[in-house]
Amino acid sequence: MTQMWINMGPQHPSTHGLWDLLVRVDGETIMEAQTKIGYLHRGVEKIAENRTIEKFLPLNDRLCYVANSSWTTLFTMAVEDLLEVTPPERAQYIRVVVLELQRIASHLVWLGAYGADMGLLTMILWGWRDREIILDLFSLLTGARIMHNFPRVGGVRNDLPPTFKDRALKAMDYMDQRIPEYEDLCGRSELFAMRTRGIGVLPLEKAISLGCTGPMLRASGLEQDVRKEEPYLVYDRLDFNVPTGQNGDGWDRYTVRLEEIRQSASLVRQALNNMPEGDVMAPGFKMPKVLPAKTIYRRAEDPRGEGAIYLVGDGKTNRPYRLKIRSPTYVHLLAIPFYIKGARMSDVPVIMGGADPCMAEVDR
Amino acid sequence: MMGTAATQKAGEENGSAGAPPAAGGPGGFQQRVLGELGRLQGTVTESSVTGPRRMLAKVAPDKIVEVCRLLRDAGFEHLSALTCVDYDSELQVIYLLWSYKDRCLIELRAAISGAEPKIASVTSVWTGAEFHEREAYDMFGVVFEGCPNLKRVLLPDEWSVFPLRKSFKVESIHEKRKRIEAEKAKAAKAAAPAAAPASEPAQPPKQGGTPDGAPAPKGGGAP
Amino acid sequence: MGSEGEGRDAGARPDGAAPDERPGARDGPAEPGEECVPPGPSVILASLDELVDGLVGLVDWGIGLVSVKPLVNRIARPIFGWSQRASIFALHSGLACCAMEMGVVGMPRLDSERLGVAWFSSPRRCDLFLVNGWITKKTRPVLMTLYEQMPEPKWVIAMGECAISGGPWHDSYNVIFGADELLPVDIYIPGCPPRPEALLDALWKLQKKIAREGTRSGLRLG
Repeated sequence: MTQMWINMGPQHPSTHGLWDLLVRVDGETIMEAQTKIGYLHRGVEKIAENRTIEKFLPLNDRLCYVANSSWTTLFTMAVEDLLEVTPPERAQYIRVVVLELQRIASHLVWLGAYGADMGLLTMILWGWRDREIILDLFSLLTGARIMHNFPRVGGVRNDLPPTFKDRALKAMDYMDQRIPEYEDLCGRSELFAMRTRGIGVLPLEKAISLGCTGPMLRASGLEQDVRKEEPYLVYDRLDFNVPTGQNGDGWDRYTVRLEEIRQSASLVRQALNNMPEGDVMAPGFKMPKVLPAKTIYRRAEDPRGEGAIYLVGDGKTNRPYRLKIRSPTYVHLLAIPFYIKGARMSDVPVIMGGADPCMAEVDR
Repeated sequence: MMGTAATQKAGEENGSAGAPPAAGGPGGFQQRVLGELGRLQGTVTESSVTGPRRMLAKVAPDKIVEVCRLLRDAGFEHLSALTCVDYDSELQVIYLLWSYKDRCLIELRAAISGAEPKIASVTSVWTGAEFHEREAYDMFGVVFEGCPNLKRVLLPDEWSVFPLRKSFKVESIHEKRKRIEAEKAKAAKAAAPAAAPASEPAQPPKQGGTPDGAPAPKGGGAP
Repeated sequence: MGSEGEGRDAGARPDGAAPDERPGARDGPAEPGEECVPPGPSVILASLDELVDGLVGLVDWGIGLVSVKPLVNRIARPIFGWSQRASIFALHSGLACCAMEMGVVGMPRLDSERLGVAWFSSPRRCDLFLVNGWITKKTRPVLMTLYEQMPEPKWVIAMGECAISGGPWHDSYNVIFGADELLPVDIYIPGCPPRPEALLDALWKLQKKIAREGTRSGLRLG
């Protein structure tokens, strides 16, 4: 049969963003694939070299439009490493609350889109409806639904409003009731199982060699989480499990992320209940006029994997000399051609979705 | 810095970091790695522990594949990032390796020349290095010899600039507006026809890219 | 019918023939001995098609004769306009962060379908192109292709600061400063990102705009 190249993207309902997966198909079976990205490349790393830290801070929210605060928090942590500032404990707990709520919101977006790609449209309606409750919490705390611009170097912007704790705990109770419903909808659906089990299998050795991290790597079997390896903020005082899968297929990626939602809800509860009183900004801290001449590599557990920032200060100005953003999804998307061979065309949305693309972070 | 057999700071003295590695942390592993790196005379010029889970080593660029393979077999299975930093005198290629088992990060720095940046590719050690190398090529113009698919990944394929080099200057929209207004004011003031080119040929055009997609001519130093 | 009939000459028939010389119409058998065989199905369909065309042309000609065309337009245009604005199909193309807020508008809390707005993946079936993110030089041909694939009438909404003016990326080497450098924009929604209620408001405003301007024809390139 003649083989042909089919272009899936850049505008495609399953891609969730502008990128292109070219597949060479023989009938329905994929022989080869190529990923083309770069449609959303702004040159954030170059922009960072021209702006001061405070001016660059709000742009980090736009680094991943699904998990905004995790990149802003990572950037502020990197700058705090550079300047050797430690935020006060209350601020660290608040950051953990925001990060875990962001993780739940991000996974709900993913879960909705994953189901929708397979035709399970109820999942996107439920998932995004429940995400609204978390975005309401963000609105209450930071003033914005997405693009919070909440962490600051040395702490966070403001303290929790008085009603936040009760509302957040109620929201986590609500999430705990919803997760079994998602399991019922997706997990006990034969069609969902047929469309995800054994699809897009990524063996562990290959995953490590390709540089996959986060839920992709955990689904392949390695129990790895930056929050456990290099605990940052107050994660070493909080108790949570790291879910893993066995086969590295679409089904395992689903179970890993669903379990992560549950763990994040528990983390939010723990952080809110154990939060000490105190300041939310490091007292007496002022941004220096000149960044020290150091290099910092700061890693964090983004909902998509290992996000990291390599920051070079030059000792002469208050702008970064070099800011490198290590994006987990960049690696995952470019790695797709390495494990898609032999899949069918109808499996492509499941494989694309399993990598959880967020194009603003891929293209930067 | 390029492969000079400078004095190696072996890890035994552990003089570079502030505190010695914490007990129960990757201290023993770090010492072992430093020992192995210390055996590579002339290849690894400085290796040190720079923090509780951080190590640093400066590597000669022609031996980078050997060092990476050694480190991967020693436990650094994960290539976290591969990037470059453009200094005046040199271009440093940075490899950031993480060990899942021993939970330690090592940063390798290989210094290559800014005028003709070339280094061997480490895709034979980690398949995923290809992605980072493509981006480094795209942004800096570094040619990774042996990389299977060294094409542009983020910028349009037909562009010929390497934006993250320091010689590529970007002007913001506000600066562009001010510059245009200043030029107009100058042209209006000097009503005589021989007025304008006083400022033009002295510096290369600063505009990063005109709206029709034509890239600016490359600054000096980009290949 | 209102706007389509305007360009046509009032007295002409669609096939150019005079009113009497309709193909297939005969007064009797053409040759002696030829039976009057009733025409086969294709002949009936072909002549039905032409019959309808003919009737339409006839009505148009009649309307033109009595100069009630503006009146007919005044009645017909709102009907077409109503059907167009009450069933806007937006293109399912999410560029960047504002796409998240666009997605929320289709979800249970805000439910754009009660306004008739639904999202479709194929540009060939869509009326509305929502530009909801920054446009880069690599994306420019993609967006132009998508826009050109959409049939007339079509509208463009520029959502968010990046689509209005390039947004916070004013010193980027790869961002185009505004969607109106490429496309004719009808509605601009400021915000970074605008709240989804703002997009809902923009859809309402677009409906009012369609009601006011009527159906659009012709291609305007900005």
